[in-house]
Amino acid sequence: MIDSDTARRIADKVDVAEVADLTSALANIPSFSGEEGPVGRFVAERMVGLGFDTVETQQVEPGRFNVIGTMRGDGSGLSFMFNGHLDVDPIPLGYDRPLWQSSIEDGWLYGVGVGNMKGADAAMIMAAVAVKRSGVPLKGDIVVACVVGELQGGVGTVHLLDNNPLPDLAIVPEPTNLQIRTMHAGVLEALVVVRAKAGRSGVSKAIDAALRAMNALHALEFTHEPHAALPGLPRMHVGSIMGGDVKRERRGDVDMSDSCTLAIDLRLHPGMTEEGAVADIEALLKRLAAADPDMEYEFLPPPAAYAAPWRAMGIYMPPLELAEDHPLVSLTSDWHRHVTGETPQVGMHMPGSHAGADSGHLWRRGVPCFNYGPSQHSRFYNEIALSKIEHGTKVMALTAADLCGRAKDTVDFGR
Amino acid sequence: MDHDGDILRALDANRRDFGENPARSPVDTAGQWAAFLRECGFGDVSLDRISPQTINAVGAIRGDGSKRPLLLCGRLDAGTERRVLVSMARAARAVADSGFSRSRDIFVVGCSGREGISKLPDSIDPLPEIAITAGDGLGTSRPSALHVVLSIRGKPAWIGNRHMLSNIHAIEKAAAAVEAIDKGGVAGEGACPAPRVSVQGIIGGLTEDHVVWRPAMVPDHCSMVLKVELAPDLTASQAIGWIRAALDRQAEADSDLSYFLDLEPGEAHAFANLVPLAPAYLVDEDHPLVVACHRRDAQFSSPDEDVVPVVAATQDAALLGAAGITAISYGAPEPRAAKVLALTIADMVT
Repeated sequence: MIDSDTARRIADKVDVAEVADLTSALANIPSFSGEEGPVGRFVAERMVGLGFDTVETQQVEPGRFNVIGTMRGDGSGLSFMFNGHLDVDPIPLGYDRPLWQSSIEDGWLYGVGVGNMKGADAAMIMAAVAVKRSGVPLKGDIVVACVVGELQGGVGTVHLLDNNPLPDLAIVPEPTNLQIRTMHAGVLEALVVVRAKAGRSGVSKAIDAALRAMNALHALEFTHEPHAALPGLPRMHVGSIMGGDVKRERRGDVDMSDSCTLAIDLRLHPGMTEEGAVADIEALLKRLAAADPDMEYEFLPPPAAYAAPWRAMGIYMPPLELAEDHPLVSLTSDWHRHVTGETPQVGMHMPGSHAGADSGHLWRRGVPCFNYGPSQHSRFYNEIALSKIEHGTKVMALTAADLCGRAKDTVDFGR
Repeated sequence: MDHDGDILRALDANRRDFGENPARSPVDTAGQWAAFLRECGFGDVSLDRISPQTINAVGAIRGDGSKRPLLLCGRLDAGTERRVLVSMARAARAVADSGFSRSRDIFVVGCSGREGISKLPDSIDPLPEIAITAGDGLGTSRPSALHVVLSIRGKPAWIGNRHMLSNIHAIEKAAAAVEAIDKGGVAGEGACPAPRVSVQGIIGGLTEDHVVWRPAMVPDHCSMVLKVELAPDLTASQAIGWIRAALDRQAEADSDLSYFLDLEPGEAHAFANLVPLAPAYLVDEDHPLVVACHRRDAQFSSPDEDVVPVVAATQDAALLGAAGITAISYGAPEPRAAKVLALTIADMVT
């Protein structure tokens, strides 16, 4: 536990203008999923300049890489990770601000992707820097992982966890408006391909069958025990459909439109498993096939990442459920109160708890973690309040310094 | 005229003399078909070279010319039609061999694809009055068809939003709209239970708010190419009016539903290059050719072998019909097909 003087010393090292400057710089570099190379190079260079003890660039696939900066402890403490993604959401139609030109107006910073989550990326980087600048000694490492491909299901984080030592604890600063989100959904995106076995019919039986399958999928009762905190889950829908030969031949009318593909999105609550949900869906498709022998149903979970024409998740994203009284939650809540004077909401946080996040991958591997970030859900994710950036950076810095300042054998943080 | 016994005996003799396949080789090219016709007893056989890849093989049996010819034809590139073609040739030969005088020339033509069929009206002189095309069942009418693009609009949202979203789901709305159209159908005439609407192509997803499709987003748009088949006695405008009425009823019941019906879909659509569809075609049920074929088919039906179903005529029949030839399509299992065809031919030429 750090004392109030030390806390002040750390907080004083957070310069909101500097965090905002880094946020703006990040937001001015395009980084859609798969195109994070330039922003990754920028982050790596900036981390070196800011005095991180080590900066690792970890190639996930050619041209895109995770950037992992570490402030080293003496090895006797817990390792603590901030995990933020560098890829940004697609820009919706109707976005009316200049692209890749961030700006500050009336206490708000505007720029592409600052809400999800370049503002948070800057905050976690500068939180670690503030700790370093404060001179507070660290026993454990503060690891700042800027990952690629979260919007693809978390391919960057999975690569990171496959190839690096697991941290003891983590915070994933997804947009929560500085509330502590300890639970969120798992996300499974998949394709259901409906094929007609019959020959030239003049009628697309496959499309008709796919529409029937869609209605059946929407009505599917999954095998599960309802989750008290997330009663809206599980939830599944057909998000896209393509049938006929419209893609291959750009023709709507063919004698045999023998295939129709449904792209589905399923949100699972933390009491469910991917295997169980898949079994329920496959059982349904099997029943449909038995009722209509002219049809074949193929379930492809999940589709290739960003396989045209869908922008779909490439891997399954597991759910998260951390106990609300976990010591990491308590510690962060304390520092949140210290900085803001308010008690953060803990637990389910809507609508984000119906979303997936990289925290699911950490949680699946046994790393206690939650979401706590300075921005909030919005249509464009292009805005963040400077006051939230400042508070968030300070809380993250204090939490990291507190955790990593303790000897490993003096604390029990659930790992 | 009581010629049935003689003709059926001639048919048996033809089969006995030449076997099931006199040419003993596939008859899937014009040359093979011409050889088959000669072996089957046709003395007047010619090749009509339309293009390097399109050659029709024509067998002719001459009549006295008092009436315009009877044409029997089918495609050499379709297996089922080749079998009917063999029956046609055998049947025509039996009619000739039975010795009755004939008022018409009989042409049996194996054609190279649709292009070969389409050239028949120009290559046979005089233009045949009646025709039977190789088919499956008895086809006397064919619906017309048109394409329309139906676009359904819902509202965009993210799947994770708190409230249930099925009421705005555009693909669900599209499925419901198709069902409503389907249920609102009216009976067509004869063989065509049209208007019948089928979905030939479908694209749905989130298109309004984002530039890419995301399964995570509730789809706000769904477009479908509908193929609308009309009984020959219905017009396109009647069908469109009927579709609109069904959609309007849907929209009345669902304030979140809006739709757009594009009656002339063009290149701008995702469904580009829609092929033109055939116009309607109908031969009167009391036309002598239809009556003869129907009666002869019934003659050879049995408890084990029903009369052939009345089906939509082949495109080839409709194509010949558009050229001024009264054409039906016919096909049945052997040996029944040859018997029915032989007696029908006899009814029409003697």
